[in-house]
Amino acid sequence: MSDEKYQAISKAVTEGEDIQTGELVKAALDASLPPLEILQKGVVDGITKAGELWKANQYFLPDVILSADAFKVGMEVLDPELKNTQTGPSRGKYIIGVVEGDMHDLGKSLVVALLTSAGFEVVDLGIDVPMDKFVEAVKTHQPTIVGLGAYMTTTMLIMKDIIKELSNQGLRNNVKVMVGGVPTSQEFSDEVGADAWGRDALDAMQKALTLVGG
Amino acid sequence: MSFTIEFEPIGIRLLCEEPLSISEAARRAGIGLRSECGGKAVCGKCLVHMEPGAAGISYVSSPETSHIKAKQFAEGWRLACRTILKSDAKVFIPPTSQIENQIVQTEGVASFFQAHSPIQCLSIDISPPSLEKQQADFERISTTLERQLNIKGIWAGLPALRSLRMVLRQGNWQGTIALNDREIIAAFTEKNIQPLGLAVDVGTTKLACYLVNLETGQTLATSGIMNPQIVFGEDVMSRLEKVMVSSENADRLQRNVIESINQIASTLCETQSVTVDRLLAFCIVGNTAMHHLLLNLPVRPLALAPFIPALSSSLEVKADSLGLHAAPGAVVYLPPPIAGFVGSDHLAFLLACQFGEDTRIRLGIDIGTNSEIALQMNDRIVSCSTASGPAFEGAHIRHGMRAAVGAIAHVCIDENLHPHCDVIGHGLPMGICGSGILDAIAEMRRTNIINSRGRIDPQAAGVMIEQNSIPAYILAAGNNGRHDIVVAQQDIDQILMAKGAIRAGIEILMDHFHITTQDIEDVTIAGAFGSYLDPFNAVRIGLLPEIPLDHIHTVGNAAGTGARMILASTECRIQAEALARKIDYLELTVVPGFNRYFAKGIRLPSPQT
Repeated sequence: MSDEKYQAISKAVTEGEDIQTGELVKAALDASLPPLEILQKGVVDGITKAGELWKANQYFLPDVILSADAFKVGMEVLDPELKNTQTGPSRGKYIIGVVEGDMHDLGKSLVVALLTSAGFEVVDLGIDVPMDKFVEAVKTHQPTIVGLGAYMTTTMLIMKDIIKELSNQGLRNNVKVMVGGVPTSQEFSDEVGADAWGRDALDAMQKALTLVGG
Repeated sequence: MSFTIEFEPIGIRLLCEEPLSISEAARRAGIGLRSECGGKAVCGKCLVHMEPGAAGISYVSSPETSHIKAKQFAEGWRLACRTILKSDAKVFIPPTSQIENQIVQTEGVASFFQAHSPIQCLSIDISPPSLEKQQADFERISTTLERQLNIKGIWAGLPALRSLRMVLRQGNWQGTIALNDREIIAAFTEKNIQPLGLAVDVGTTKLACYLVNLETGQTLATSGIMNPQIVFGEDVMSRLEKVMVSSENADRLQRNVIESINQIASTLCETQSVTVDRLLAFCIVGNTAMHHLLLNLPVRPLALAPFIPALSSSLEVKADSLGLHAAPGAVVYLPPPIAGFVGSDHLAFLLACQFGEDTRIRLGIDIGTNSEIALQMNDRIVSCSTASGPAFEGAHIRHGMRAAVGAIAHVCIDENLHPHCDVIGHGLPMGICGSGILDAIAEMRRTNIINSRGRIDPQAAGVMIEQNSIPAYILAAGNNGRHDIVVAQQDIDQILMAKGAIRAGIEILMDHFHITTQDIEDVTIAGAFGSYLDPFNAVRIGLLPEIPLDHIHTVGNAAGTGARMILASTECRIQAEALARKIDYLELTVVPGFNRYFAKGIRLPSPQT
């Protein structure tokens, strides 16, 4: 019976049904199903499937956007419960944010969903994040990876400064840096001294896994 | 190692495997580049522009320098036949080096307005000075004019004073004085001449100029060329970025666009057998970034959130302060920009299409590299801007090109999934322009070659599978060494994202006003691409919601029309400034749920039967 519930949640996430996802997750919690199983067999399974369909050219960007949205709603319902549970093995902590001057949330939210699905513990700093906040977060959370997103040619210039500042504060050697977003490229990533570049959300997830040796 | 050459402004890309000359590359891409001497560096007709300092280029220097001055060379001008490319490069082919001219939209909506300019030309006939009457030149004229017009306080700036003296003495104390309100801005030896002005629409991709008779409002000649700043980047943001990294670039971008306006102005004046010193007034509209780059205003705050423009009021400056060639005291009027991403071109468009003058619920869309959308309801207008990108104009489409000879402009797919294409100029197809790709997508959806997610059915007839198992639909099979012309999966994705951005803007504005599709009484679509856009296709691919087709009008370059109205009529100028105050700006990126609007906007509607 419980497997059917997990499948229904997974399906709702894959199909991008945000409201339904929220309701199903709540119903599963009310039925006293273990939050960790709801997470892994339901919400994460759904977003993983969406990612696979994207990779197979059966899904397109909007489908993944809608799935990521449903995923987010499911996570919001699930989060308070997960706080009280052992979340199981993690791939490591991943801090992510969109750089200052940039308000684009879309690409980053896809990356957050896929990274979570891959087993990372993601700390999302949001959009328009000042340099100091990135540096502060690296100090506080001591993540394995920090991901910087920029979606405009004008804002991506700041990434170099952030990476430099991490070096200046002696933090650079303890953390891997990834960059991503529409105007970025492998050359840009090399130029600013990042460890990896994510071409899109799927690629970002795979590169992150490579960085942690998974 | 392979590399790509991008030809601007035509928007064609060529994949190359080995080093080759630009002339050779153009030939392979099927672009008509002039070469009277056959590539011997003799004629100097194949002049092209490269971004200064670009890598992977080598030159055969000596014959080249004979046609190119050191200054031009430093600015990036090269002879195509003497320039060898080895890595990714962008080549700008100016109109003078092209065999076939491009279609650049300059017509707009038919405009009905009463010309009434503060600028007037007055014929004078005054008595020359003598030892008995030693009145100075300026006073001699000002007192005559003041008496003639029954006004006081006529004055002149220094540049006008300089020419006044020369002109009157050459013209034997007869001629014409041009007045801007009470200021003498020019003097001419001829009598009975018409006051001329230039309206300019500076678009990210295109520059359209209109020579206007300020007294009658009549447009005497029009011309359009590609914005030469395109070599610094296709979109607004990449140009702002270039200026942010180097102030030299700021000067260069400004000079580029001013020089182009001067060049077109001179051509337009020639059609009327006059010179540019007859130009008395300018009205220049453009998006806020183009406005700032033209004036060389600091752009950093415009380039980063929260995207604040340097000013949002109108501006009047002297033409010579911008380097524009015109009459000594000619004035340039720049209507107010609305916000960081909604410029005076949008205002001019709304003015030309009579927004704010009735209470109908109207939607106005100006499609460009950045598209602006306005929704009018009762006494309110809310505008937003969306980065739709240049995909509609054929950029980032593998076989995309702008609407020029050789472009597939219309596509129809029959029941056997066989495509039928209309080619501009009726020759062999070279690529697909914006209207062609929309036709193709709408037809592919109708025949279920693609589903509502825009995915190509790999099993469908006419579909080939390329690298990484990505499908592409063949529109025109290649022959005689020409490649196939296809609509690839990535092309469809580009178009869907562009239309999704516009559709998201429309839906957000409709929700902002709590209205539905049925409430919309009129849709006005402007922009160069807009005039090639078939309303039927716009609805078929879901660029527009399902609005009855007779409610949808395309008006071409309405911003240019608005600019002409503002140029020749004080009333229109006042009206435009009042309209600007009425327009509220909505920033889309901060609208809750924007991602969902965008995602839903990308989906293709079900085919209608």
